[in-house]
Amino acid sequence: MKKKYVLAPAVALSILSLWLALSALHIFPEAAFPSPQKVASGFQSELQTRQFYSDVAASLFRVASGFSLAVLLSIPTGLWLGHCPRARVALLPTINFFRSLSPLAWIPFAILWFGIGDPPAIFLIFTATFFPLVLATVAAVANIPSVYFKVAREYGLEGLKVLAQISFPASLPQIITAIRVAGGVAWLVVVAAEMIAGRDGLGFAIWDARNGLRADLLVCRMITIGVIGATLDLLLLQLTRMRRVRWGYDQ
Amino acid sequence: MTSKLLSIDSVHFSYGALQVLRHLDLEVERDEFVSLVGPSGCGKTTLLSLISGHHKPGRGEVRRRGSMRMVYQIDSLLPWLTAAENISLGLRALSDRKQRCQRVNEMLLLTNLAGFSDHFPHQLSGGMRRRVELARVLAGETDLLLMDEPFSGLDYLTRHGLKTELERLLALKPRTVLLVTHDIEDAVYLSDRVIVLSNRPATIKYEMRLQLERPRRPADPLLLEAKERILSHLDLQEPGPLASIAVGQRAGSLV
Repeated sequence: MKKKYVLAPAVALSILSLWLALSALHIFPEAAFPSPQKVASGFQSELQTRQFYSDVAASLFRVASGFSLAVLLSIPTGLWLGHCPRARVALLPTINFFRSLSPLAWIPFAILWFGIGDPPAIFLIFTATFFPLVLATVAAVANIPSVYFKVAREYGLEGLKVLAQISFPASLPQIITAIRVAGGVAWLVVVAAEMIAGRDGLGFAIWDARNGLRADLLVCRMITIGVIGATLDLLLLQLTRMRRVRWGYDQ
Repeated sequence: MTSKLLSIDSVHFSYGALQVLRHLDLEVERDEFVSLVGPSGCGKTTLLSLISGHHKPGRGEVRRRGSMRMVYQIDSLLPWLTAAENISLGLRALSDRKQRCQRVNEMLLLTNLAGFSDHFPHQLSGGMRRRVELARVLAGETDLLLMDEPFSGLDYLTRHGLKTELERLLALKPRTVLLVTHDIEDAVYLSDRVIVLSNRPATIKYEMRLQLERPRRPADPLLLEAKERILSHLDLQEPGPLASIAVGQRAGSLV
């Protein structure tokens, strides 16, 4: 347990010292390899601009909207497909097709259909996460031991009650794992979407720093994206701590 | 109204070309405890599936009256529900919440699980999980209980504890039970009637009624005799001298 608090900071510190050493030796030109000091001062000024916070807020809003929409729609769809063999036969190949399609390939259409700003980014996040979440839910339902459904029948549960009281809780631990993975994907996609189809947001800020030849700000924004992404995963990890899903992880 | 809760009428069953059951007749009276023993793979579990309705017989008829619940060979507690909530599932017919809560607590007390109502199945030992399952099937009103190797995978002491508990619970609230087991000791200890099935395709080979007082002692010589006689019909050992079996001796008899 204690090692966690020593080892992880030690690795971060080593990377920082390596960075310090490399920039002190001036091996690479300053414009392409900013020093930690320069990045730190860049961060300081960055944190005082209003733009920084509105970029963070814009990216978070897009991820929150697109991803929640995907979660809310994919779980019922997956549960339904999991229980309906005919629907599965009909729809799974198509879902698999869209799952395999890189969300980046959608960018041109996203711009043509939705213009610039929130809608194309939300659309891209949704397409990137909805299909894998549906497939994960279908797989989770397929893994439910049949004895739970026999028990449901013996104790008088029928129809939608079976879906809500057996299939959903029984597949929830696996669904949560899929949600964590998809949450990471959503955060990756928003940066790409904003770089091309945005006028604000952290992805746009990356592009903006590159256009202004501000390598120091580029690093600031990369660090911001990484920290927020890791924090989001930490938040999603809390879902696995819920009492009613612990059984799925404790074995 | 007859007291037959279950009647199986010359039932045949096959999985494709594999004939599992042939010409099987069985009737079970209300509140009777019947055990089915037989060689491994002879079709005992298949017979339970026919009774529970998960399979349909190829020929013949299975008639069952009233409601049915099953204790499965594998863990069937819902892992996302606490012990109390799992037991409460057995009481869904009771609409009054307070009454249901009270009954759950009664069942927890009866099965010595009082401090564990809020524990989830994965936080309980194997024996405790089995007790929760027993509490769940015995809570509420069910006419027929099917038990498929309910004591398998447990150590001797836990098994013995569970058997006495089941006996005690059934004494408080009699039920019709059909128990499938490979353990003849369990069968003679618990049953009013033991049915020995033949090798596949299975049919009834031998039937023994045990009219012995309860609670029974596992070391009772009559039980040992009964066990030996059943064993002899399972082709596992040479038949012993049957003449020495005391019929109608003491309070009980082997018929």
